[in-house]
Amino acid sequence: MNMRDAEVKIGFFNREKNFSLFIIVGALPLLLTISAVVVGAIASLATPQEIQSFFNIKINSFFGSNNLWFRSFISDLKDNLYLGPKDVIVSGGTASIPMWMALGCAVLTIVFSIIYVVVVKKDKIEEHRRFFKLSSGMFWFLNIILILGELTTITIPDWKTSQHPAYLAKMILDILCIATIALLVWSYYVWKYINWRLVKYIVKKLLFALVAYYIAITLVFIIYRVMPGDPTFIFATQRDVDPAVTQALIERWGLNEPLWNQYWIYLGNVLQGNLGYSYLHMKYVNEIIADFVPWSLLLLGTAFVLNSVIGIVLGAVVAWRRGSKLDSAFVLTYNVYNAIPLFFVGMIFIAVFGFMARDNGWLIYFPIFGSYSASFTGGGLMKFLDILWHMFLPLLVLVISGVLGWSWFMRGNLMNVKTEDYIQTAKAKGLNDNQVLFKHGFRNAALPVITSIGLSFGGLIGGALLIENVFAYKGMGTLIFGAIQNKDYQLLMGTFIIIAGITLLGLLIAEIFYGFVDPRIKAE
Amino acid sequence: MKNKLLIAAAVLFAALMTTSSSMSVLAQDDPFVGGSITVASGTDPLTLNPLTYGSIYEGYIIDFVYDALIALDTENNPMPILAESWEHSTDNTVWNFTIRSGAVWHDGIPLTLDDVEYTWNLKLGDAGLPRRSWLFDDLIGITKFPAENKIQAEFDFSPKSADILLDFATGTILPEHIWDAVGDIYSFNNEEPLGSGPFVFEEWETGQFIKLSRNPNYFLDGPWIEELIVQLIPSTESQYYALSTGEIEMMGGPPPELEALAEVDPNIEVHEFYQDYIMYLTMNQRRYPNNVLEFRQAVLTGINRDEIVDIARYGRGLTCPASMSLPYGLYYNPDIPQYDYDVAAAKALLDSIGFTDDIGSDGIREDANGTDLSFELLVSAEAQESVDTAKLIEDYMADIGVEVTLVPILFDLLWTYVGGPGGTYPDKYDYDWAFLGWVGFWSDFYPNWAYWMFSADRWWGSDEVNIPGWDGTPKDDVTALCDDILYTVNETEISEKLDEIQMIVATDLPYIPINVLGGVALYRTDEFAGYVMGNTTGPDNWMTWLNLHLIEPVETEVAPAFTIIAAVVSVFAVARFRKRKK
Repeated sequence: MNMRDAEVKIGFFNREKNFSLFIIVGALPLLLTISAVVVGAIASLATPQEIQSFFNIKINSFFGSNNLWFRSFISDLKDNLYLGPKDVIVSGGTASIPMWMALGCAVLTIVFSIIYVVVVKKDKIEEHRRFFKLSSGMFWFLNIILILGELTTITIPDWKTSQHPAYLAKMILDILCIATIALLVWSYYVWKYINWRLVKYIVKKLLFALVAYYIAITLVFIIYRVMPGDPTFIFATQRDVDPAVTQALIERWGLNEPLWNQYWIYLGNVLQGNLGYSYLHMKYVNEIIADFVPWSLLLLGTAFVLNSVIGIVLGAVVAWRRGSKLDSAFVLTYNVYNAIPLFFVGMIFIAVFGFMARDNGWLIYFPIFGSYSASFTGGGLMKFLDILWHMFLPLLVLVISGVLGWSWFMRGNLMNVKTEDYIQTAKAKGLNDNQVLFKHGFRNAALPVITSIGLSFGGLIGGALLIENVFAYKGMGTLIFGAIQNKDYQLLMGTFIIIAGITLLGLLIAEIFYGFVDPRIKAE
Repeated sequence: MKNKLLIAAAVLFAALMTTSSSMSVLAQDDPFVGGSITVASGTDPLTLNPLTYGSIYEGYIIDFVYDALIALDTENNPMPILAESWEHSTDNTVWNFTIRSGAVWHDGIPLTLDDVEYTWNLKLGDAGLPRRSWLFDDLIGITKFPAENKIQAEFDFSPKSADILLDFATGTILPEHIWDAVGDIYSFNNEEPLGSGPFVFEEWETGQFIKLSRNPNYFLDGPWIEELIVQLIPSTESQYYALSTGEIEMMGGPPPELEALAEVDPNIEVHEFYQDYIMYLTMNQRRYPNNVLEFRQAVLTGINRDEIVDIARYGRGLTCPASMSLPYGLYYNPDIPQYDYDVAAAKALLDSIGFTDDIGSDGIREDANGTDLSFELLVSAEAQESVDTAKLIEDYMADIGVEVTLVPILFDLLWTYVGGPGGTYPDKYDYDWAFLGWVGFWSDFYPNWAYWMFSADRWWGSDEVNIPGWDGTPKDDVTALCDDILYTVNETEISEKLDEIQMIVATDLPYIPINVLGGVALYRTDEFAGYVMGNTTGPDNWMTWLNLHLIEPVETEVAPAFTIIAAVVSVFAVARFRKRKK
């Protein structure tokens, strides 16, 4: 295999074939078509009132009911998207989405084809000439028909004042036409140019991930059903609640159903994205998790980004200056910090920066509980600062630990890389230290670190469980801790399904990423 | 440039500090309205539904927002709340409550007889509601007398005054105009509770805090605190730090080392009290030789309960009498057998029934079948003090020739072994000994406490789920006496019957009672005054919240960190602005 062949195998599509054309001609129309189908389906099935209420629900749940700007924006949008019967036809304004999609596709095809031919790959024009002719011709032909059809329907108001079968049939035809073209083009390119080894690798990983996820959710179910106890145990030692009442609650909540029944119901719910109902919170688990997740994402997301960035850079710096005072200090700090459990570090920080600082009247102290002050009434910047102020200590504990961990990993990798021949070659070429470090050493050493970081997000949630509890910081950690205390198994299952999902997704993304960067996977 | 920045920082800092100005006036004698108090809660409430809630943390919030007809004061005496007075027929079957006029719900709608009737009917119609007095089973009539603002409850038997005043009338009264629109009560979590109580619900940030404000229209004197925040702080250490710096005003259950710290803090007071929480050893009497009376008596005599209180419980609480009755209560019988710690007596008892170490000389006695007296002791692994107690019991038993092996397990598992959930768990009763506790039988002031604990008609004493297990005739005796008490109104007769029950129980030992838990609460005294507490309650109680008030108006304070952050941000902004200008 010569050098040229090896290069061919790099990337999702073989290099000498073109990736950009695939995106332009294949994927874009396909995406547009899918959105057209979704919008068209919603619009054809729903009445204007239903659409109105659908959007209102979304607005209310995501943006609060006071966001007038967003309300009016959505209101405009839904008027324009609506494809079904209308009482008054405004010329042009009611043209259907498929028509605009078709037109858009055609324009995009032409524009990008010209760019491709003229700018990108002039020398390849012969190779693709036949295909261009075919696809452009098909696009233009069908699009002209569609546009003409749309214009006719606009001029015949009756078609749209009722659910006219001809109108509906035409709309379906519109969508089908575009979908077919897009699919044909897309399939042609996929079939002809794709790197099947990589596809196989990704499909295999995806299947493994799905199987692992299925096993995970099944295990979650089994663990909580075979464990002794149920939510009614919260009344266990209380005299004033009659055990007959708790028995009645067990029946009411279906906890006395056969295990298989419970499992199928559970599986069905999970597949539909419904994580169940918490009898103790008297709320849907999705709702509860949605309330807590943003706080965890804020804390853990910030920690995650800081950990990765600072960790990799610091690791590179200490590795490059191996044996220096900085390196020795780093190694010492790493060992000392890791010798102490994270929650204990949290408690020390609380004692020092929360309690002692405040008790001794230091200039700065930090809160020891909560995500923001309950009695704080200000808004805007001050509220934001209040949230940051509360987040500071837990974040600090997580970041120090994370940075040290990733730096340690990065340091080890880079020290290995430093001994490689190509580093010596780079040095021999006369490159300065920074160039050798960042252009040659850093990139190679960082790759395994980056893929591992991808895997670590799920673990970060678990690790933050204790930290969130030590700082009484709202998040998945406090939620899980409370659920364990209250034996809220439905909620626990929900949180673990989410965490398992996040972990597996991180794993999958990291593995796919690895597939792209590791030439062996595609070439062998 | 550096100097200029420093000057700018100093000026800004001074300006910000000036905003945190303080006002101070002389202390006043009369309580006045004002102040914000934060108290710590170990667990986030799950629901604020007064009919279905599970834990004390939820009941705690609900009691601030809702009222009952009657509440118990710190001495457990009935105190008029929504009912300003009450009377009953001579045979106790008919009870009339005069509802306080002028009581309003937090939304301004008057609280009427209809609301009381609605709430009673709600509980009457659904026996499955967890928070429902058992007396609704016997309620046969509700009548309103609007002219006198009076509501009448009629029962099919003659309940004692204590039953009505301590149990029936202490249930939460709900607003009909809100609850009538609630579909399924069991799935209603009452996220924004609206009641008539001393505090108005403001905000519930789940996983963080619940904010309440003073009810300005409350019909009793107080409350005086303007804002009350119940903040979730699970860690006891963090609670103490917060208490120490004045961020919270009181906390309960500090470990001894924190209690010692509090004792030397001039701003913190320590209050000790007794809890209605009895810890006991249960010996599974379905298994030989646990069903041998003398054996149980020997075990109890061989346990140094004083030392357990001193060591495992840090000197908090009391040893529990053999009758499972709180020793400081109205109905305690001091003449029962005491089973004072006496190793020799315990050994003699074992010798007397032939449980001696005949086979080998391993120091372990054998029962009549020649089997070693060797038992597993299940204990909840989540409760360190219980494990410590069980460890001590293990040592005491070794002294009298009984081998005990400690098995710390999760409470849920322990609960199924001892038969707690009832039903048909496969491992039900599959245990030798277990260490457990009972809470809230009110044996210090409630005459029916023994009925709930021992009668075979109630769950705790029934065959189906009887945890300690009776053996033979005493159960019938006790059940008959308990049932008698249920229908007895005469106080002297009740006391006599309770004495008799206690004597039987203390002799027969269905339970091996160990200790009564003691509580410790810490509270600050520098900013607020008006704490009310008693022998059986700490400072965090309903009466305290009515009385608590600022000693003097509070200073407004800007958090230093805010000041610093704001100053730094401002200085950088100024610096950048100046750079651009240049």
